[in-house]
Amino acid sequence: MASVCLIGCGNIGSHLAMLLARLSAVLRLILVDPDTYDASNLTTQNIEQRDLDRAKAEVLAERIRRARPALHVEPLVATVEALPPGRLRGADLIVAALDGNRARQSTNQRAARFGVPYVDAGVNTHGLLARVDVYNLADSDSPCIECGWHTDDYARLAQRGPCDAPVETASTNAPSHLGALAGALAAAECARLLEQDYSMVGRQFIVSADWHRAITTSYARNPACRFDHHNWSIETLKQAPADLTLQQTFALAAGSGARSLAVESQSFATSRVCPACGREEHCLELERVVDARRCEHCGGRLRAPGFAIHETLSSTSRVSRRHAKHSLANLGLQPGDLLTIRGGASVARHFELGGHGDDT
Amino acid sequence: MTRDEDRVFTAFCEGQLRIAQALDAASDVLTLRALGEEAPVTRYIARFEMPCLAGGNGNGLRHAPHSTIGICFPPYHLSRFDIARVATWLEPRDAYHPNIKWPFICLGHMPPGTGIEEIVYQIHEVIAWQRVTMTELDALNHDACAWARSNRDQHPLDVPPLKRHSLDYALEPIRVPENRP
Repeated sequence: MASVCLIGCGNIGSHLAMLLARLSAVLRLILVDPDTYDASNLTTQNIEQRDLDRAKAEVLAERIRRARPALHVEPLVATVEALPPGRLRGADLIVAALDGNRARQSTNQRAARFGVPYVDAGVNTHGLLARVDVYNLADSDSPCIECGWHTDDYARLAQRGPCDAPVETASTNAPSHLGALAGALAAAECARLLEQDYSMVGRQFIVSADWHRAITTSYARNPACRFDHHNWSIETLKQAPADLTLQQTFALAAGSGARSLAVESQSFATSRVCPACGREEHCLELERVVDARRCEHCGGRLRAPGFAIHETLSSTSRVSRRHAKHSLANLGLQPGDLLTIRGGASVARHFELGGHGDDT
Repeated sequence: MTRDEDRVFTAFCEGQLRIAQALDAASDVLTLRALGEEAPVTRYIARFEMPCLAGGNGNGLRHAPHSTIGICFPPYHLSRFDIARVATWLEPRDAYHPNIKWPFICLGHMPPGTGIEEIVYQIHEVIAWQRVTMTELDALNHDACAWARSNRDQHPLDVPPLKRHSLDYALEPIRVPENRP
């Protein structure tokens, strides 16, 4: 019996979620999507009038519970980038039904860290194409989604500038039946993987509903892939972020000498500024905490300057010593965040912070 | 457990260090210094010794003699470009330009893996007012944006080029006739 995580509850996801729920091998389903359904989705996604203005992940979770009450369904209303990676850990399979490469990158990375298969579904209205890619990132020599990317794919990634909110990718506006086709193909590949059949790993399957053709392509591991493909052996901590100080966290590293701490997909900010009024404050917290803050003086959005952002903290740095007794919760860490701690030249150790309700 | 090495990123940073050193040597207006001793080098301080418009917003405008920008390459630089992370405006804090609001500078859309030479050239163009956002929609400094539209004769600034030009002329003496006064 398996646990499956579906990321994206839009056109493809609204069909795929129900198909995954009906696989007898699936015991637990995690649904991830930050958005709500709006009126424009009525003709392109598998929803009803009463679902409008409600979180997509929650709508589908409700529907699945009605269809299959015994299935454990967990809706997470967040982007995959913002979610502590540990919330997805435990999934035997990750499925993405996304419309942007930025989220695909994050999903690909999480699948690699956890060493689980990853199915990626997409559509293209030109030719009414439905696409499914299958990866098994338990094998670091296997291709990942970025192995097939070239310069143009990276250039098209949504970027966030200092002057604006995150750039949203345009919806494909694909018809609902195309999303249903992609969802069905993805569900079929998921069923295959859950039966331990890896014959489609490293392959892409495309169907054109317009030209009535089907194509299978193979990918190879790209030695120059910009992603490191590393799988992690992750130890689960019982302690929640509020239960561990920074000093205690550094002590988890093997080896002696200076220790370093990194939080997967997050960065530490040692300063926060208000671009509107120019006020600056020194701090030590995750960048995502700074982004959520407002200036006490003028109410403007706070940001961390690039030079004040660090991917790792050293135990010997002045800022670490000053905040040694602070709990990880004070720094903005959450249950499910993944820590990488290294001591001297020793091998890194990876931990998942405890404290979320479904610790078993 | 595996050791977390990213050979592709390390090779990129080593190449950027060589490029940065060459650029520093070839420029009279730019000083580009690597920070830190740990390899790979990912942080630089770029100091431009050339006029930079500053002040405004109710104060008079002046030409600051130099400007300093921090440049860094985060570990994900080859996968996605984050301008707010890559370039940090350090001084002068009151730099006056539609694309600058301390500590941020907006250089526009760049692809992941953009190298230090391209970044430095873009910054040079911004300081020289050769790259200017003319609408408030994308501007960091709206006051400077309005000033830019009303004072088109005041920009771009007259600044030296980033790289010195080598003089490579073949000179021949002019023979003056003996009977010419």
